[in-house]
This record gives sequence, C-alpha cells and structure tokens, in this order.
Amino acid sequence: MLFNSIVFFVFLIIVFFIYWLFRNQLKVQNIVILVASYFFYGWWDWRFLSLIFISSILDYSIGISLNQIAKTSYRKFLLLLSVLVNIGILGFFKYFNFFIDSFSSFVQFFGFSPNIPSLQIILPVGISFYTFQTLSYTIDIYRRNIEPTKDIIAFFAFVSFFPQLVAGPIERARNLIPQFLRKREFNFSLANDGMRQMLWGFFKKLVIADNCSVYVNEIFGNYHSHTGGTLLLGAVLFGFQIYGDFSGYSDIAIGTGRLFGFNLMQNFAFPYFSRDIAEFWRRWHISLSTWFRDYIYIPLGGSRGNREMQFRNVLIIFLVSGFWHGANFTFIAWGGVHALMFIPLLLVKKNRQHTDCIENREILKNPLIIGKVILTFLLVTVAWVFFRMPTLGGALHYIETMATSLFSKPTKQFFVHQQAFFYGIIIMLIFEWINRTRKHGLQIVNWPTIVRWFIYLSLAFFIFMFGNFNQVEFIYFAF
Amino acid sequence: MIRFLIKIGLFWLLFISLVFGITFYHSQRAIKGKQFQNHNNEESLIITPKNKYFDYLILGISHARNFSRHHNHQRVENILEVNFLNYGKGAGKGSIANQHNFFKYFLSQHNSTDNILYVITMPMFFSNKMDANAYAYENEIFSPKFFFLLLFGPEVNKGEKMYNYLRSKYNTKWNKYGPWSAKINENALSEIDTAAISKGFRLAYVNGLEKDAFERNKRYLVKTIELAQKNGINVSFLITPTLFGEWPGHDMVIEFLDELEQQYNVKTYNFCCVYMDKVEYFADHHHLNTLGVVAFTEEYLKPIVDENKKQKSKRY
Repeated sequence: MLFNSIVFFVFLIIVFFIYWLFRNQLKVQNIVILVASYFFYGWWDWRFLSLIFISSILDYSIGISLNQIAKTSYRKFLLLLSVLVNIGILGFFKYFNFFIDSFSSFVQFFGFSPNIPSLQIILPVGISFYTFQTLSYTIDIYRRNIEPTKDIIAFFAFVSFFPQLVAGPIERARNLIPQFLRKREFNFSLANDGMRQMLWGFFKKLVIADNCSVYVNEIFGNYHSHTGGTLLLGAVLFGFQIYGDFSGYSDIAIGTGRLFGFNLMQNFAFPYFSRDIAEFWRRWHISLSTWFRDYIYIPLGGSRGNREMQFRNVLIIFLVSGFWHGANFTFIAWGGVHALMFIPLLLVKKNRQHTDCIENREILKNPLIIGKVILTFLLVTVAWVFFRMPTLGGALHYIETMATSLFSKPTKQFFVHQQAFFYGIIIMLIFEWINRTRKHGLQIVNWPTIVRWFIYLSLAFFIFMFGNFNQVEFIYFAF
Repeated sequence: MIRFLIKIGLFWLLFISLVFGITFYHSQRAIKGKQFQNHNNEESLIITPKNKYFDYLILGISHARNFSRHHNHQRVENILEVNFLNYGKGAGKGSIANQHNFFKYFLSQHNSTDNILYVITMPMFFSNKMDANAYAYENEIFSPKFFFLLLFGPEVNKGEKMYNYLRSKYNTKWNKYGPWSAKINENALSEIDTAAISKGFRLAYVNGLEKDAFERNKRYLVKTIELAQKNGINVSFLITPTLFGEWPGHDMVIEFLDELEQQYNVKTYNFCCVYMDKVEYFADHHHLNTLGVVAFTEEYLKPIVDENKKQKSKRY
C-alpha cells in the first residue's frame, strides 16, 4: 500500500478510529496495530508476510533465551543464529542473483563459460528495513543493553509497525518497544504536529520528488545525447528527487506514527545544509547511519586505534552502507566515493567540526560558509550519479561527459524554471532553512494562527495543483 | 480528540471551498465572452441551458456528435424541423456512463424534452480503456452541481476523472479553450481501405470484446432508460451507417437492445448497412461527412421524427 494512494487514505482513517476506540485497552490497541500492519504489508504481497513472521518469531524467542542463559558460548550461538537467519533471508532475496552474476562474470574473465542459472526472485518490499530493525533487538539484548519483552503482540507490532515498515526510519528496540508497552493517550499537540509533518512529507513527495523524476528519467535515460550542463541539471534534480522522496516518506511515516501516539526517530535533519560530508552523514538517513555506527563501526574499533584502522573502518562502513542500498556495483561505488570524500576530513581531524546547525550569526561572521554548503551539495550531487545509473561504466561516462562539456550548448532545453516544482524546491529550501533547528520543515507551531492556516491551505492547494498523482513508488522501496 | 477532529474537519472544509472557489473562478474566466453553441464545440455542460425545452436530446459518442459537427446541427434541425440538444461526445471521451451523468445534469437544470435519440455505437459497450479515459471531462466547465452528480453517479475510474476535471481548469489549454467551428471536415473517402478498418477496430477494441465492460455498460444504459421513463421521456436507439456494416459485437448488442424493447418498449432503428456502397458519404469508414449526414437525415431520420410527431399530436 502506498502512502500516496487513496487506499492508504481510507485505511488510515479506519485504523485511526478503531485504534482510538480502544484508548484504555493497550493490548487491543497493539492488536489493532499488528493486524493493520500485516494488512498494510499484505496489500502489496501477502506471501511475504511469512518472512516478517519468521523474523519476528525467531527474534522474539532468541531474545527471551538470551536473557535466560548466562553461558557466553551459548549466548553467542543464539546471536549468530539470529544474524544468520535474518541476513540469510535478506541475502537470498536481495543479493543471490548479484553474487551468482558476479561469480559468473569473474570466471568468464578467466576464459570459462559457466552455465549458472539465476533465479527469478522478487525483492520483498522493506526487507532491508525490518531485518535491521529486528536484528538490533537481539544484538542489544546480547549486549545486555535492553531487556527482552515477553509481550509477543507488542514485539510483533514493533517489527511490523506499518508507518515505518517498508522504508524506515529503522527504529531501535530501546526506543520503540517501550512505547508499545506503555499506555497511550491521545495527544492533541503530537497528533497536530503529526498532521503538519505528513502534509510536509506529501508536499516533498508529490510536488518535488515525483515531478523531478520525469526530468531525471529523461536525462539519465538518454544521457548520451545531452551535454554537461543538462547532465548536471539531471544530477541536481535527482538530488532533490531522492531527498523529496525519502525524507518525504520519513515525514509521512513519523507523522502517521504521531497520530497513534508514537514518537519515531528523526531520519533527516536538513542534510543539504551541511557544510561538509561528515555533517551530511550525520543528517542523511540518520536511522541507518547510526545503525551502522552502533552495530558495525564501533565493534570494528570505531575511531580508536591507529590511522590505518580508522581509515579501514570508515571504508568498510561506507562500502557496506552502499551495498545495503542495492545489489549492484554502482551502490558500492557510491559508498566508496563518499568514503573518499570523508577520509580527508578524518585525516585532518575535522570530521566532527560541524555538529550543530548553521547559526545566522555564523553566516554574518563568515559568509563563505554558504560556499561550503554549496560545495558539499555539489559533491553529494556528483556521487548521486553512481546511485542513479544502472551500471558503473555508465556512471563514469555520465560524469566524464558532465565535466568535459559542462559549458557546451545544450542539445535540448528543459525550461525547468517554468515548472511549478522548481518553485516547490525553493519553498522547501526556505521552510527547511527557517526550521533547520527543528524536527521537520513545517514545525511552525509558534507562528500566528492565521499565518499557519494560510501556509497549510496554500501547501495543500499547491499539492492539489502541481502534485504528481500517478502513484510513483518510493525509491527506497527497492532497497 | 474532538478538538483534533474538528480542526481536521475545518481544514478539509476550507480546503475544498478554496479549491471549488478558485476552480470556479478559473473556469468562468476562460470562457467569458466566447460564444459556445452546440455546433462549435464538443462539450456538454457549456451548452446546457436552464428551463428550456428541446424536441430531442441526442446521446452517444462521435457518431452522435456528427449530427452537430461541421455546422450540421443547423442543417439537421432544418431538415427535421425540430430543435435538439446534442450531448454526443467524440475523441474517445464519450461513454454510456458519462452520457447518463450529462442527462442527469440536463434534468437538474430544469430542462425538458420529449425524446432521447441514443446513437448506439458498439465499441462503447466493450472497451474498459475507453470507459476509463481519465480526461473525459477535461474541457467541461466546472460546475459544483455536476461535480456532485459525478461523485454519486455511475462512472469508471471516477477519482482520476474528477481530479482531472478540476485540475484541467488550470491548464493553459483551458485558458485557450474556445469555440472551434473552424474544424470543419468536408472530406470524403475515395475507396474502402480494409487495412484502415482493421486498424480502427484494434483502436476501438483494445482488448477485444471485454465482457465485464459489456455487463457494466448494459446496467448503465438501463439506468438511463429508467431515468428517462421516470421523467416521461421516450427513448429510441439509432445505429448509424458504416462502410463495413456491422461492428464487432453487433449481435450481442442487438440481442440486448431487443431485450430492452420488450422490457421497456424502446425502439431500435438499425441502419448500419444502408450505405455500404456509398463511399462518398463518409469522412472515414464509420463517420458520415456532411453530405452523408444530410442524406441520412432526409432519407432515414426524418421519417422516424415525423412518425414521432404524429404520435405526439395523437396523444394531445
């Protein structure tokens, strides 16, 4: 079920009313969430509900066992079992054909002609997200950071919670499970802000992302016939498309969660206002970055140890992050490019230089900071080419053409500035800049009522007028 | 909770009012000062008056529209000595469902008629694709009354159609929309081209004879007849000539029309094969040109209309 569909709209209204009908019955509320979540996922393909069920029952049982057993070797075995099963399912559905094809290409390189069949495997939507979410639960119990829950309904609802099931934020058990276990009252301010965040998410998805995608598909699909300026435009638009798409999804997910009394973690903190790549990664897909930090980077040694160790750890984390996004060398290259942009900062120990938002007085003192923001955006934009292109060779050719014919006369004019979504991007940047210290771009709770309502209605009207209602899937559904 | 629901309700109320208000303004602004008449555009709402009587209301798709296109409207009215309003909608935008909705709108404007002449073309029964055309209402003026008729009336792909109906009023195309009487086609075919006929069939029946579409459209047609009879309006079906005679699905539709005749006493006039050797009467293999419309009206339509007039005078 897509957030940007009428079906979801109807589904949400029904679930909302049923859920709050039982506001004093926590157990029933959790059952409502669980049933709604399975229905939500099953609407796409009910067969894959079995995978969520397997992950849930396995980690629920392992979680309880880990808490009861003191023997380290047995605890390690249980953790390994959870990791192997979860990663095994993910690996099979997401990476099986990639490894087969890569192996086949590798041996062909040495002159062999293997006849290895690949399978027609459908990638279950959201598998990377809920797998990581449920894995964090067992790892945290193993580390004795959290206690396991005995409430099976709450645990199943935690794994399958429909707002963030298919594209995150990847929640941690320590944040979300306690929310399933305590009584939830309807909170007017929380629900109100949830609605605001949903409106903002829909604006970013329907007006910006889905309209940008029309131009992005045209430019990336026919990149051979365009000159550098157009290719740069395509890459910039893709940057806004993927941001509008993914952060829009996160906003809708978090906003939906708030309607049900849940607080999900912030997933994007206005990443395009970052002053360097390190800051960008503290602001982009926060739930995944922190997951990798907590469960891979720190166990590997993190920033402790000598320089070589630090570089190795950074490289691993970026390559794994790239590979998480998809079974293709382009994603690994995307991660690698980011690692290469990050390592110089680590080298000069400036990777933690910008941990807070840009302050106005900072700009007044040093206007060049805007240049740093633009430069970071451009670097990220170039890296997006690897993310968007289907092949590594294509991505390199795209970047080469972009660089060598940047100022050549375009073969085709796109007149993007005449399109409504162009103004949508400007509106988004203005609002997100104003609210950059807050949780989302439309957190305008302290503004005068009449101004707020004017903004809500104008945004809704803008969506109605210029939104793309062709139900374009969210990009991250593919990951 | 109640406060939250009131707030959400208020938001939607204001939003819908805003959308309706601005759309209505845009819709009216674009047509201001333009003289729309039945013969110079293909849309139904803009030519629907209030409190007016018509001898005939014509429903159907492009083959119905042909009686008004190319200034034929005046010619046909003169030959038949009757006045009529033509809702026939061409360019793939007509369907049995939207003809029903337009008819309801006609009545809602306190107009009246004694007769509906429903021009039947077989593809309008069998194509899901044609029924689902999201742009069916894009050039219709915005009327809140029609919007609600549409909301509660029969329609396929209703959401998208209603959305496009509203949003099309903001297109540059709508701002430039006007009477297009200049599009007069005096072409005549010189010979029958069987390849063109086959191509035409493929376009009209994208997925062959779709049974679900047929069953649905049968229901919608019955609804139209029942609504007409409830308002004391006589319904007749007319099948216009083609160069190839019968359309695919002809027998199925005729069988259904026969059932309707028995059940509702509605007559069918089938002239599909009367001009199969008159190439000069056709603009293409199934659309009559002006010469064809005039000849057909004089030769076949006038006797029917005269007969109806006689029946009416007998009644009074």
